Amino acid sequence: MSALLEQIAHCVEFGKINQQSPYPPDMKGQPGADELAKEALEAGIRPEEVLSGGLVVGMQKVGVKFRENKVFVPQVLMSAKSMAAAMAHLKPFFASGAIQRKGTVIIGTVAGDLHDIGKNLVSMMIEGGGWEVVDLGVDVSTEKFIESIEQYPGCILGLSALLTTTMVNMEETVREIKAKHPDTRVMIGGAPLTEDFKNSIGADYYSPDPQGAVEYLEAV
Amino acid sequence: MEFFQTPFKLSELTIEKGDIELLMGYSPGESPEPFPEIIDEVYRQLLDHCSPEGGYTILDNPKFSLDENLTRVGGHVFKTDKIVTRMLRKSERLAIFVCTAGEGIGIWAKDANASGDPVRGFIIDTFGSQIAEATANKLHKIIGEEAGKTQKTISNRYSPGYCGWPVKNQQELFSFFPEKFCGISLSPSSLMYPIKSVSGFIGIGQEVGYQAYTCDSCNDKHCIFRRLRKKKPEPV
Repeated sequence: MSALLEQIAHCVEFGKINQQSPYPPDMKGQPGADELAKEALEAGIRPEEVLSGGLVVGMQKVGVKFRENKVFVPQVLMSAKSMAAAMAHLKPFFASGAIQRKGTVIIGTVAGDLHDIGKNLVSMMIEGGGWEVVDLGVDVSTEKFIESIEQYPGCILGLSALLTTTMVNMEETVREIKAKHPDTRVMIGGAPLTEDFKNSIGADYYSPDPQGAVEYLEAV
Repeated sequence: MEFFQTPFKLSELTIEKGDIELLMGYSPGESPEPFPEIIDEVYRQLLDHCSPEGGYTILDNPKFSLDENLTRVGGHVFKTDKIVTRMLRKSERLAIFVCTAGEGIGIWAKDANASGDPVRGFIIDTFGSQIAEATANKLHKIIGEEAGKTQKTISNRYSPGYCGWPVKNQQELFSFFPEKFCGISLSPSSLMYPIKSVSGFIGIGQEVGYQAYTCDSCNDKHCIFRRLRKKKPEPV
């Protein structure tokens, strides 16, 4: 049973989507995350185990490798694609309530900034970690963030910015959110950001990489 | 006010597949399977999805305030911050330019993402960025050649959003052009659509020059380019 979960984790880590997919070359012809997740469920492995023992483990491994510059964005995206293929088999269990999400994370790139690659990576990693993700997209106004917090009580917020000039907008957004919803946890990320900046704007957490966001969510 | 505006053929722009791999994080020729294949496939289809275009106008007598870190030109004040103001300060004229890779490539990338193929979406997006920059390079060269006709030289190009120059100044920059010049429009938060577009200033004068690398003249500790320069990845 655990061997099957290990195989799923391996497929997710290396971006092996399904049997048809010829990538990675050394896994050509082998079943991918898609078939293995189906097989695991048919073998009676509980869906939450497929999630936590397979998908989460695989995404965690690729997240650490990304942090260590051992893989790059496209490889993480391949992993996310494998994860999505396996996740499709788990969707009915989420819908029925058989698997509970760990919580809801609202994520978006702040106003004036349209860079979304980092935000998308974080979004995929968090979803792979078992969280419900509400992705508001790019150039998101403070009002939109606040509206979403009210729509999803108890959610955690993730803000992204790539430009030094839109860090100002992030500061304004965090200030207004904290004024209206002081208990809402706000994590921030983006290439120009730092721990000092996080402290100066009153956000709760800064991560230089997607895996850090997942680890923070696990800890709160 | 006079405007120069032209479409570019993709064949006029320098788009190297190795540059795409670099932007993706790999050394040229060293991206692992399946990325070289997807890069080739996207490259082959670029013609159907790109419509590069650029244009500019030239304004005389810009004034630069090093104390206030401002540039005044054409009746507008630009908060060009310390670096850009300093780099442009000897300009006798300013070329105000905009250019774009066109709307198609952004739509193509979005469609790929929406169809559940984020890898292809990312690679298309990377091509879009590269085409927008290549279009800006081409326009930069044209402006340089025009300046050369009057024995003037040109500076690097500088864009709102970078080097401390607020994105909001896009509103003033675009006010110099007719509406939807080169097909580009601005959102209320001053973002350009199509997304893969570049705008900015290029200084023209007898005492301005192009600097190969400008990071040494900047002390912005948050700047992404500074960090990328320091971070030299080791692909495995």
